Amino acid sequence: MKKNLQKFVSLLLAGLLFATALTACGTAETDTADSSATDGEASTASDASSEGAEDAEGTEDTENTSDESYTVLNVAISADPSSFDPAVSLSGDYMYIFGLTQESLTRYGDNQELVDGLADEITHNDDYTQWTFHLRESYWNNGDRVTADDWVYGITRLLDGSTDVAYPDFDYEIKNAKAVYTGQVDASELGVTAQDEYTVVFDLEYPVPYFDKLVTHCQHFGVNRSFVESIGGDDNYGTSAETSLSNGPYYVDSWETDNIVVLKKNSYYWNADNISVDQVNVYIIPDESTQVSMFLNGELDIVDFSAERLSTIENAGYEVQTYNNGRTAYLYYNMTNEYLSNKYIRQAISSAIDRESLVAGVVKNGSSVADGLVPPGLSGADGLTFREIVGSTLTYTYDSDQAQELLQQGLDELGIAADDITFTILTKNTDEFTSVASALQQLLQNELGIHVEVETVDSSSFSTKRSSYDYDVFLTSWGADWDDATNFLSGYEQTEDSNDALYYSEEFNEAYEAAVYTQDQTERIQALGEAEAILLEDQAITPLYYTAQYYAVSDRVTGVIRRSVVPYLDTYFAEITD
Amino acid sequence: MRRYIIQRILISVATIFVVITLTFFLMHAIPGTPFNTGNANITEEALAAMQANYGLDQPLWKQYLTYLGNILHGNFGTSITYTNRSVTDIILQAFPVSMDLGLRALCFAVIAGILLGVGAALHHNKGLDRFSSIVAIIGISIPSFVLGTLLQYVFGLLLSGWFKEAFNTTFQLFPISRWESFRYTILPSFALGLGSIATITRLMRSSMLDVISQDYIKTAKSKGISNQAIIWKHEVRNALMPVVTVVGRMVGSICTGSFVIESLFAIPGLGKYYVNSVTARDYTLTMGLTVFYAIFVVATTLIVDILYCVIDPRIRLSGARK
Repeated sequence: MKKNLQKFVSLLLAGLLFATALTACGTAETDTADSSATDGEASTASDASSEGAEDAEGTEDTENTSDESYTVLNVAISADPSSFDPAVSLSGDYMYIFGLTQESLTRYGDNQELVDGLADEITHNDDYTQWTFHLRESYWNNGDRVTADDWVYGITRLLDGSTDVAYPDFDYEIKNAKAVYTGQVDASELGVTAQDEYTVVFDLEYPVPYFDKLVTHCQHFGVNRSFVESIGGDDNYGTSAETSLSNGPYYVDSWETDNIVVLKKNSYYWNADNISVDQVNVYIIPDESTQVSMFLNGELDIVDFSAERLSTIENAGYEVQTYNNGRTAYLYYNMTNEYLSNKYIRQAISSAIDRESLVAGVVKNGSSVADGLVPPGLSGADGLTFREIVGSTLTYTYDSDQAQELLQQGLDELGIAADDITFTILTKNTDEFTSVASALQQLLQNELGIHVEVETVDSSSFSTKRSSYDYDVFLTSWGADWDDATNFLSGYEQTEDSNDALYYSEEFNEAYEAAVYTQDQTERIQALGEAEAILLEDQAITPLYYTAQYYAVSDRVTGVIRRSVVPYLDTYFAEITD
Repeated sequence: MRRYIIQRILISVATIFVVITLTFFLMHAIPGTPFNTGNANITEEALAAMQANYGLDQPLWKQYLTYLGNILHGNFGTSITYTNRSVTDIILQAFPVSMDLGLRALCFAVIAGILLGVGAALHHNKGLDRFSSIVAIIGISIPSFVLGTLLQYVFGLLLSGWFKEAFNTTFQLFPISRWESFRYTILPSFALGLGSIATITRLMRSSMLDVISQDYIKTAKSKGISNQAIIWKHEVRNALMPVVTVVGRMVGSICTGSFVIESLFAIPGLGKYYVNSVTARDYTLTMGLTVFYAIFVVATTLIVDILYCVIDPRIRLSGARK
């Protein structure tokens, strides 16, 4: 029997040795293994993409041995981009790639200030209803010159039905955009025209003083008409590396679904000399803990993480940084709810919430207490942020006594007791919202003695319930698509015939309209602040906290920019120092 | 034999039909639409246009009939969330990866499981037996996401880090994630396979113990056949039958992709598509994957059943009796 044991152990050892031998072989054949894996995957994987993978692998493994000056930045996003067509992709993650491959007329500088992009001269008329952009000399990565027609075509294709687009209303500030989308007028009537080959003019429906910021959003990107035609039309644009075109500092060199997107420097780009990093490997890593492990192992240069991994990153000796990602979490009420339609009840709820403890004890991700709806990262005028100009607009901050008084006022008006009030907080089933909703449930029951239920659903059900007004109150957060407070406030401007569940206030509408037509920028921001104050006096919504995000950057990289508007991550200015 | 196979194929087709019907109506019964993710509110015109595009404005029974018709023509449709990609495309691209990972995990589980099981039976109630029990308990009780993270930490970070330092190289012994060359596959295969190792080990052990106490083993021993020959030719071979049954069933579940392992190790497999398509209400993708899984599982079960009578002539297939 003892002999058997020996045999068994030696067999195991032999197996182990065999495995190790295979492991060693694995490295030598890495490249071939790569390309065969790619080729086997899909017909879209052509020579170019497997080449890219080899390059990526090669630089990773033989770092510092080949070209010393060739620098590679490694970044992770959590989901596959699914398309490089700006009309299709809208999620924040992919905006990082768009920020590098597509340049709009303007772009954000290294401090969220607006700088010239592909336009080198920007003018507007006095009331901000016509904007003229003169294009600089720059080229698409196939060598075509960037022209005014790129924008005429890029905007028109979003509205004339040639592409499926989820949010055409992002372009509705452009003259006739809505009419074109709904088929009432011909696409040639659209307010985007090429004045000459390199000058594009936007005519707008109403004054938009922040239009130069709005054009940084992907629904205002230029698209090369002849390229799209050469690849067989809109349906093919952006579906693979070969059918994508770039006018930004990088181009998509290869794309393996769910694996990696390799971006390489676009030498045709006007500012290419000032782009330091030669290649960006964008890995698709869905799991946060995997991203953190890869970061600790030196495989990633930037990582976003949540509070539970804070100590791991800190213990590894990295500096934990945090940035305001331009989102505000809030409660949104259904105005047809018999209790919540009462203003005093809503004010009581806002006064009953101890936001300090909520942020410190439940959210725990660096978020800060909200004192308004518009988050602190959004700019205002004259180099000041919106919040710096407007200050706090939330009067119903935590005050137990005040909450009781307001509740009593509401109860008297309704003729009921606190015990009668019962409603459900609807929210998405993310960790953060689930725990915040449960905390609110406890808190409101303790402070006000009312019955609160929590219902968590997935994001798809959430959206459906929301658009069919099937909720009492929901907890969500809203993020900025463009760097202006209108992004947060425009949604509350409702007409009298809109759904009863929505907040409707003459007073708010007047204040908001007045702000839109104010020409002096500081005054405009102040006017928007007044509109915000009306919204929060009525407690149409109850702001809870401004969200933040932890992140860390490897020691070899400098110049990583985080912003409160998309792209949240920008490595345009990144440099690698080994 | 032929009659049996034909009968089984007919039953399989019926099974798949039931699966399609159930999934179709259950899927559409969940509240939610595929077109409502992200931040802004979708405009009504855009929503109507997109629903019409995917035929979702039609009555449900009509959609169902259209879908059945499409499937008969081998057309699984286009994914709603992964725009411009057909479901067939997604399966063809991601399934080979899942299958690859699954087969590696299975090979690993079968070899290690059988060896451990045999060892445990031969050393009944001794050290190796206890060791195999521990492996089995760990394999069954530790959830794969914990095990995966642990492997990434111990092998990917600590051991590989030590290796780099010791040999002064940038070579990553066990990469933390992604699916590239052979060494990338070791950790995920192990993480995926450990649960199965446990099952196979316990099964092999008890089956072995059962065989060892049989009379024909005593006879063989008394005839003076060497210990080795008895173990490998008589004991192991006869004890393998129940393991084959279980492994056959495992192919279906392991090779169709694991959401947890694949997202943890960033492997471009099929697992995440299934989970994500349900949460995103990507009807065409969910349906396509369900039908595909159903076909795959039904087919592997059929193959295993047929293999039985090849391995063990004593087993007669029910339909084959005259």
